[in-house]
Amino acid sequence: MIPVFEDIRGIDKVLIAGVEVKFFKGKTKSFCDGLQQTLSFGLFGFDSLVLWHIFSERIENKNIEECVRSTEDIIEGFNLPIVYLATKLIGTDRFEFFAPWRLYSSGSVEADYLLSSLRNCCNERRNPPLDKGEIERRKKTLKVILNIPV
Amino acid sequence: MNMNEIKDERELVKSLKTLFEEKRPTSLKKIFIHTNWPQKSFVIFGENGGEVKFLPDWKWI
Repeated sequence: MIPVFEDIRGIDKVLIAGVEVKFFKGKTKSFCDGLQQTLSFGLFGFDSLVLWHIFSERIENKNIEECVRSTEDIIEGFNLPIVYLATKLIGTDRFEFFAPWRLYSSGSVEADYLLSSLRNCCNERRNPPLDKGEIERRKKTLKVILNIPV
Repeated sequence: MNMNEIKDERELVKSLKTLFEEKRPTSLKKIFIHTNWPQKSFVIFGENGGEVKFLPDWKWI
């Protein structure tokens, strides 16, 4: 998924995030699923690299927390330039956060809150090689093919 | 549609895109779907449903 946000830091007019989505329904997935795809986005010219683990409502919170902790340990331990988002799907259109923070008091949130949070996280953590000539050129190409004014 | 009944990631991402377009904050300008399938391509689906092959067969890398 590729959300295109207004860039509030004003580095560019837009912030293009490459989001790798992994859906956990049972025990068939690993905590490190999606890491390699997310890192590969770094070469494509995205402003931010996002790994989003989405857990089914049927999975118990303690199991989600264990999985999320391991993923966070990898990302933080190796100082990977990845925005890590982990949520549980609630019903048809709400999300319970597990990473980058837990909202113990308010429970689940709506899609617009999730997207605004994602944009704020992306603002804080940018793709490191973006200022290299070749990657910058790919970003321009990405903008052209997505019909975003260069 | 109950998203917890969705079978795979592709179906989920399509539903999420629809949801995000309905509930978009003003800061979200556009949203696209991509796929890494087949594995040697990175394909983005355009706004009008067409495919835009980005990095076809990893020719850039």
